[in-house]
Amino acid sequence: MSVKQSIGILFFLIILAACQKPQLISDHSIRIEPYPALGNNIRGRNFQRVYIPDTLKFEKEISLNGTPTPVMQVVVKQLFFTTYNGYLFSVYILPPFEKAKIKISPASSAPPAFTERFCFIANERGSAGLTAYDLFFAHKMWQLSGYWSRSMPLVADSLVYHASLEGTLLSLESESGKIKWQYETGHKILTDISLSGRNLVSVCRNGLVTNMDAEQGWVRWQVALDAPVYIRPVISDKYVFIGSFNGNIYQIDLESGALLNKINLKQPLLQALAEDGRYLYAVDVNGTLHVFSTDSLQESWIFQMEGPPSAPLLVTENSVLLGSSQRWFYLLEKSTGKVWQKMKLPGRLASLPAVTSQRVFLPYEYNKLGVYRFKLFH
Amino acid sequence: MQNTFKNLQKIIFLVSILTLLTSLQAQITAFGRNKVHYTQFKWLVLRTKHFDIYYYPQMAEVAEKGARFAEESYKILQRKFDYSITRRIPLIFYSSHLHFEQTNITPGFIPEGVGGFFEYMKGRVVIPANGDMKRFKRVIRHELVHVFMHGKLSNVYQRHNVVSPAFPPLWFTEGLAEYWSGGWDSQGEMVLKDAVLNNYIVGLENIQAINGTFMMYKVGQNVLMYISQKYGEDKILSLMENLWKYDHFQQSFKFTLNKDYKTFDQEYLFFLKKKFYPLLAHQSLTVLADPTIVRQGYNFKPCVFRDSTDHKNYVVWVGNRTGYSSIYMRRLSPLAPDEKEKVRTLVKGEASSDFEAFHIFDSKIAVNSSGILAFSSKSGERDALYLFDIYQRKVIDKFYFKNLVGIYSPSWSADGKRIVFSGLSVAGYSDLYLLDLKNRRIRQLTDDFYDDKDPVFSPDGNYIAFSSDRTDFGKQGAENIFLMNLKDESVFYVTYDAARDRTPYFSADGSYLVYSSDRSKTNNLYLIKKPLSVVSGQTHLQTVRLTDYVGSTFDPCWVAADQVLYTTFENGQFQIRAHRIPLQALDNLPSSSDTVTQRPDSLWTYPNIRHSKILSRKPYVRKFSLDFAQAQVSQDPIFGTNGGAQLAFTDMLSNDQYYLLIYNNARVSSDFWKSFNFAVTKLSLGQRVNYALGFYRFAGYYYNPEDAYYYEQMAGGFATLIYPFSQFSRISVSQNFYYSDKDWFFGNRRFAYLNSSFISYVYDNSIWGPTGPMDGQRVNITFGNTYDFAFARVNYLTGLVDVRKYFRLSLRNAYAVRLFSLFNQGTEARQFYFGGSWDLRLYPRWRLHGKRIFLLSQELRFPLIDQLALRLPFGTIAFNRFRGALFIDAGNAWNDHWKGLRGSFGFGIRMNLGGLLVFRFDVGRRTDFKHIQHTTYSQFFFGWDF
Repeated sequence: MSVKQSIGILFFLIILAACQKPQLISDHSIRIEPYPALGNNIRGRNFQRVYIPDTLKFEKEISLNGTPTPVMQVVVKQLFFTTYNGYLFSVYILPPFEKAKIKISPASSAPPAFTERFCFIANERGSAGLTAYDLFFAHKMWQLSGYWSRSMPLVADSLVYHASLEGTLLSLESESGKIKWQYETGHKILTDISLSGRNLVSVCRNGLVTNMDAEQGWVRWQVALDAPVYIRPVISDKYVFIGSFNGNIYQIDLESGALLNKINLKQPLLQALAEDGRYLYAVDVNGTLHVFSTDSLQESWIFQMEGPPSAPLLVTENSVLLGSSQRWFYLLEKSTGKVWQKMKLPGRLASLPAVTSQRVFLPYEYNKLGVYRFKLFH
Repeated sequence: MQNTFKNLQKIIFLVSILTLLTSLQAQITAFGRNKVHYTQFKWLVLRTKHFDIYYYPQMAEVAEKGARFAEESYKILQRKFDYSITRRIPLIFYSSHLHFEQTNITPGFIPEGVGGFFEYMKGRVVIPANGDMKRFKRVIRHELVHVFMHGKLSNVYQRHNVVSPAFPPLWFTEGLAEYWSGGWDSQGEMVLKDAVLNNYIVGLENIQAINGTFMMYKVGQNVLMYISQKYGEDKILSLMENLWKYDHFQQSFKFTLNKDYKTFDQEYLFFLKKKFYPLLAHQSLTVLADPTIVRQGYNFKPCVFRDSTDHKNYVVWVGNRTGYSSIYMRRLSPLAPDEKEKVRTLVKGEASSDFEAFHIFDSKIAVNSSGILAFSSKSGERDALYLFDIYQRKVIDKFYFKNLVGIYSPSWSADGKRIVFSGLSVAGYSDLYLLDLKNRRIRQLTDDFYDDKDPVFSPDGNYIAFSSDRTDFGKQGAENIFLMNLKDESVFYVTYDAARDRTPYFSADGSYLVYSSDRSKTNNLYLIKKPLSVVSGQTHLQTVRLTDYVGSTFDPCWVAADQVLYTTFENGQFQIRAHRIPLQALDNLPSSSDTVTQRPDSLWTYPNIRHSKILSRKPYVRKFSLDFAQAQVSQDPIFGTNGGAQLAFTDMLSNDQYYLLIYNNARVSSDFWKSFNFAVTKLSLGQRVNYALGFYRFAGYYYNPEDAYYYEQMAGGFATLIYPFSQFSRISVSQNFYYSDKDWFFGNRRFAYLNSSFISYVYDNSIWGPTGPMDGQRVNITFGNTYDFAFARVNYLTGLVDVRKYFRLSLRNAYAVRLFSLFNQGTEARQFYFGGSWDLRLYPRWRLHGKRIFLLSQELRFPLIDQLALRLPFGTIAFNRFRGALFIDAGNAWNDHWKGLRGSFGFGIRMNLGGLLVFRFDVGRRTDFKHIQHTTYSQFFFGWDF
């Protein structure tokens, strides 16, 4: 083999290596910690135990190549989310906000779930309805054929729970994808499911609420609300709260399934409710934020924003963060609803804001992630 | 090589034609009617929170009401769609439909039935108020549903990065716009009930059969109402939100409802039958109950004329029986089921500048005892009130009224000295007016924003009954009958209910008043006893229901003491029937005693938008933005890549338009500038006189049989002025100065500075059938001269005469004749090309050429096959509207010496392809009119009949 040939082959190999499939950043020095699954399912989604000390100031805009699905999650030092066009994205939460992505499916409408180094992504199109992705080795571990879904998977005790569009609830072993149990609700499930302890609560589009034993897969109780539901059930210590398209909020006893209370807001509820242990937060399509006590459902205060909400609201220890489809972003004082900050975003807020490292990450349409810093730290 | 030149020539020709077509639009092309801009609007822009509202000063108040309606609708629709429009929405308001018809935002003609439209390119909404504030409000909401749906779907597609998405079908878009803009009304009920009970209802699977019709709107609305009630309102939103996943809307429908169209139709059509079939147990069909007076076509607004010469009664009405809306007359006698109608056309509409439109849905007509017919018609900028002598068959008087754009439903006083009518002001309000024929003066009887219409005199001439939404129920869409005392203009309720009570008509002695009302969901006829007693304080009037029919009945008119004529919609047709009133047994009919004690003193109102909500109000300033951009790249084996692009910029009102064409056909890079083509054109359409200005440079290699191959570059400028006399005729002059450098490949080269002047007259009042004109005529006479004013190397005259006349033999048959001649005479006069399906048929395309052309074509057009369906294993393919033609052509092209007549004759088949193209196939033989060739030729072509 001549020197020229060797150099040629070397160049060829270099080019071949450069053409390999793009991967998610997998810095082997970072060990992704086991992810606390329960925090994922109860208050961790719309309630974060953080303080917003000050109003927000724009720091940077990051370009994405898709619109994030409704929830972004911070895992170790990265912000993870899926996009509607089927990518799994990660963005480092510290400057220079390095980002990475990988195409998982043709389309995804639900946020991913994490446990240890695994990520589970529900897909609405493509060959598989659920994909398990190994973040450490950056490859797909297994896929569940069919069972398309727009519900966020849940993980607990080496099990992953998946709800399909057609109404099947499945429990799978997280490492192998083997189905442990499955249950047919018989109706479409268009919302996320919720998990608290062994209570796996789902609600079908027609209002059929099912509480299953997460480990064994038997039905604890079912309640037919006879109302269309598009948002996930919220589980508090004692209750399950369901918001419906016809504006009802149902308070159901977690243990028995008894319907304890019902109030009507007169407007459809299409964005997830939030709950912080004391209060329940609901924003209807009229853009009215209602705050109720979780026990009595007594209204505490309301706030009117301009336009319907474009993303789920986020409740922190001292504030409420909201985005409207008229591109307004609101930062409210939590106990009174007083506006701390109102600003127009370049696009509609697309997803639940993420608060971490003295920053608030606001994803807005269609493919941008705004990084905002508390003014205090500027 | 020759083919290559020809290809290039074709490309250049196509690009030039493209420029011409897009730049100068219909008014500069050979034929076509004119969109005449009679009115010079001084546009203002009112900015509210979400809208930019374009209006003119005369309609400021209506615009402010419209602004309020729009903001209210915005709030409601952003909840319905769970979505907000974040761009500013341009709303362009006109006070009347007649003004609306002048808009340039759509290049096409706007029929009377169009209440507004949404234009997708710039997201503009264009709406006329036309006197009815309730309807104005509803149309604003309707069009904003389109705006929101467009925005919502774009949002869904963009979120999912869908590049070529499925779009919802028309039944869904229009059905939703109807559903979310207002409730289900008696018109919808009328159409749906009739279709169900007469077995022509279609479900979603066959909705294509009624695509684009009023019935499709109503079926769409009803389907969505049904889905909402049975499956939940959320499903409608889901249908849109799920659409990104699919290639077709039906798939989204199936996923969302768990049912395909076929299964859904089964339950929906069953639901309709279950709802309407029980009506047959106690309601009758009008065709079984009452004698038919007029059967064929669409017929409305009957009135009676008693001929003093033969002492017989005639019915006079407006209708559309042939494609033109006209006023007709026939003997007032019942038609036997198989009897052929003998109808006389009194006034032919839509074919002349005097009678452009009769408002057949909205405006009544009336005949007095002297046989003078009063009617209104659009005539130029506004409506005119015409008095037409039926005996003499001619117009004896014509009235225009300052500040009145529209005139509706004129009605005579018994003595024939006064006429009362409903007038639409420039401000956009509909009020009552009284015309004194003696002094030709009008008196305004009402002056408010209520929609006052269908006025009639009481027999004693002291009172006027009319329909108005000034009732307490008016805000909900109701209209009641009122009585005005002409002495003091005081107004009294005659009916008082939450229904649409319309078209009142007094009996000859004033004892009864008949009217139509939808109080039973469908329009039926009602009668009030002693209606004038309300003036003397009577508080209860007895109302008797005269009809209880399945079909809708309206437009009543007294014929005799105990008989009324009326219009009915039954089995998909608008017919006129007669109903006998059992006056002696009125008490046996269902009746009610309506309380009419209230006088319309405390009137409801639609407030204007609050001034605090108006951000600014400024004169309109033109800002141009891109309307469209298109690029074309073609590959040629020798010439390589040819590329070009065209851009169009218009202002918000599309009154001024700029077109930029760039094109290059260079073979090598050094030829880039030599082969660089461009044209810049400005088109101004905002005034009565339209004009086009432009400059250009065209250069390239050409071929024609006379010059063989040559290179020519031309650069210059042009100006064209077009003056439309009316909708039907125009004159245009154009001037073109240009430099021409012509280099023959096998000969010499010449330079010239050319001046071309052309004048053209065009007339077109044709009515079109599925494959071409069926009635009317078209004329184009053009003359021009081209000469070289520097070197005198070029100098020739050009003439064109193209006359086409269409004779309607019956509803679907026509005889068409065309006389066509072209000539060029002089130095370097160009030749014309001739032959082919477009002119002299069965001869090869452009085989003949010469400086002179003559052609006489005749054609008999007739229906052949209405539908041809092929049932295949995977479905049915249907081809609609095949038409046949028998033709004979005669003509030739020549230079200096006539070459004798050539001709052809044969049979042709035409098929309309989706309304865009017509496939034409001709077969026959050629002849020189001495011998017939033995060979049979055939030819096909895509294009409309001449």
